[in-house]
Amino acid sequence: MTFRLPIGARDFFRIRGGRPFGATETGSSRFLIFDAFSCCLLLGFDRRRHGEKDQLEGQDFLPGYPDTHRGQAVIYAGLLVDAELARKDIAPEDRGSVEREMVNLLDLTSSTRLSEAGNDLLNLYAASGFERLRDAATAPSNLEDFLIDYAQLWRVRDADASA
Amino acid sequence: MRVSITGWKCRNLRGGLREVDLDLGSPPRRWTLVQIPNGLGKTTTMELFRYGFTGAAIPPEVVQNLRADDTVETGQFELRLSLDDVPCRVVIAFDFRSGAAEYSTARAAERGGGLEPGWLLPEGLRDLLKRPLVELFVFDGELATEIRAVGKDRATTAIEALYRLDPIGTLGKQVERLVDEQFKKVSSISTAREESALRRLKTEFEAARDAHTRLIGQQQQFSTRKAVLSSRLAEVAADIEAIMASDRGRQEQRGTLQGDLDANLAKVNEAVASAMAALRSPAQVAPAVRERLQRLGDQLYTLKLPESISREFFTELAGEDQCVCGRPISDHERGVIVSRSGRYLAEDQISVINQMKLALRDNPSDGRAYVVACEDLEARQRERQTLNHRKDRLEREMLADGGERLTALAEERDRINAELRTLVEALERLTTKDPDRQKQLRLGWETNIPLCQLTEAGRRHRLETATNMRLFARRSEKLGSIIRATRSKALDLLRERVRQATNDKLAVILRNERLRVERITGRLEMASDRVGSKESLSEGQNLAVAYAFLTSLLQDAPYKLPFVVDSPAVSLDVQVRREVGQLIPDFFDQMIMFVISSERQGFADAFYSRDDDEVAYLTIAPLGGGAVDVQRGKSAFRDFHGRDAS
Repeated sequence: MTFRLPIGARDFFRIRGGRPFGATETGSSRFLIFDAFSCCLLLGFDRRRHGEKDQLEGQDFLPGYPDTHRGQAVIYAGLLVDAELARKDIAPEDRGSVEREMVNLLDLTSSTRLSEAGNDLLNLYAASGFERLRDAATAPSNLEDFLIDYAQLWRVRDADASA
Repeated sequence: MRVSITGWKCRNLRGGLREVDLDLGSPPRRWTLVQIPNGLGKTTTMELFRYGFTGAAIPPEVVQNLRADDTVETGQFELRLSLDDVPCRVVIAFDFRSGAAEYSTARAAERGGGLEPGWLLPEGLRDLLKRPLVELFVFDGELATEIRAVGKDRATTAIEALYRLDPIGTLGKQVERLVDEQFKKVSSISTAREESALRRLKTEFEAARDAHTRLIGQQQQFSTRKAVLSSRLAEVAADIEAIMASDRGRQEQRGTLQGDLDANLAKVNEAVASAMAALRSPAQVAPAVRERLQRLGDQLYTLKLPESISREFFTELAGEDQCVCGRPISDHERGVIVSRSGRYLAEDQISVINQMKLALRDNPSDGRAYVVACEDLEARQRERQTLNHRKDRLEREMLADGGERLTALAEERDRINAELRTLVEALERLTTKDPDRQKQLRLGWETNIPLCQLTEAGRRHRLETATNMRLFARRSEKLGSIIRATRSKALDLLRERVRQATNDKLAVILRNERLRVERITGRLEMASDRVGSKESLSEGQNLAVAYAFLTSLLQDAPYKLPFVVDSPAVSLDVQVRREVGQLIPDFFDQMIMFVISSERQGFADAFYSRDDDEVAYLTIAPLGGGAVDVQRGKSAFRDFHGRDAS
């Protein structure tokens, strides 16, 4: 299993013919399904809570990172490790437990730099993040509105955190 | 195939069968009369013949009952046959201690004629030689009077086996199996074997086909309307532009606003591209994300992770004789090292963490790039909104001052645009192939052409499959009924032939009273010229009927089988014996008759006048202790005075 969309994400992002928001752009500015997935993923990591398998679609939508995101594979892996350490309440100084988590989650030979268990968890965090996205914003009608809504979501989150 | 018995051999068997080896020659003579007093193994030999011909398992108690005496532990019976002039031996080896009986077979044509384990007669014979049939040609003469009650089933079974009718029955079963296999194969597509199910599938297919036709019609209608409206919209827009162009001042303002909108669009696009670029770098999406990555990096530095010693180091160490400190490593320590090595990062995992640390270090942003790009985007959106409002207001003013003509054109343009939007939506509903869109719009085969095509194709396939299956099933039923009728007709004809042949023989044997088989039903139903239906026959008449029936049954079969009979004439009066003795032998190519001395008169002496080359006379006399003496020749046979002589 590599990347699997949360159920309902296709409707939320208006994915038609493999393109969110009916995008007609080409090249790097085209919003990809994986962009939608990564937006969910970041919110899921931030919640430090993953979702359930039954919140995911039955099939993968992509077998590995697209070119636009390949360079960020280790960053996503790092965020997963961070989220899991927090979810399991592992103390920052607990060297043995931190190392064990990394042993469990990482695999250089995999295209995602994640082990199978790590990959499964990644999708579950995306499910959790989509849950938060849907709760916080109504389905946008176009890409511009989504980008602004998504930025607003993070602004509010940062404001809450600093309050 | 012609099957002959060329001899048999017994060793260590009870009665007079401690050491008997009878060679009938190859080819054997047509008739063999074996005179053997009661108690010298006649019944045992007959039973062993039956086992030899059927290859049936012999129960341990039967084996143990065959034992000559307590001094012997093993015994053997060998039946020597000629199968179309090819020698064949069936050997049954007995182990009296365990009660085991093992068959082995030697066939001259197979593997040099050596003994092979198992009962290995040729395939056709294997299917033929079942106990009910074998009992008809290895025949207990004392039971002949009961032959009339063998029943139709026994006669039918014998006719089917002898005249090779069973392949017809097998063919019927094959047809049934083929139908079942075909049905299973198509059942995933359609289970319709019945006419009603076929009608239902036809109705379903026609519904899908009609829906497809209707949807295509709608698509053509909407497309035509859309083309007409688009053309008209272009005309109306041109007319509006032409009228508006006359208001030069406003037209100039309008041009400036449109230029500003175009510039705004470029800036919006730039902002979107910046936001997208930032979005694809998680550390730039939000300060919170950036902080988490930074903290993880710091944590790894603080914990000195990854460890410079990898899992591989311990795995290799466990393979060494000595530790790095020079101490020898015991097996126990080796096991502990290997099991604990799993706690350490492997080299590839260390590499991932190092990459991660490097990525964090090389990413000095403050984590606000995305939010800043989106703030810019938001500002551009507001600017666009303002420009659009101003442009709309200006156009409304131009329309208001443009007179009725311009107002009418603007209204028409708005109407056309509204209708075009409806048409575009309707055409998308009709034609979209995108599964996500189909799902979002809740489209089905009755409203969407691609889905309708799929449904129509699926239903056509099911209907065609079912139609073919139905046709297949009907043809199979017809073939099955032809096969059943053929088998039934063949059986009737063969039964009638056996009945006629039996009656022909009876006419010769029983001259005093013309008895005949009226019907072969559950039993042989008899009739007489004198009294019509005749159920009560004398013993002699019964025996005559039995042999006439048996010989008729066996004589014309494609398999020529020997006829072995025990006590063939013991219950007949002398006159009938003579007639039976004269008539019956001619029906068989090989006949072996076990007789006791009292049967010589009338029956056996009917053979004395026959050609000596065709008759073998064997006389088995007891020597005491289970041993016997086998004497050959007519005179020894005729002069023997055994204890059964009357």
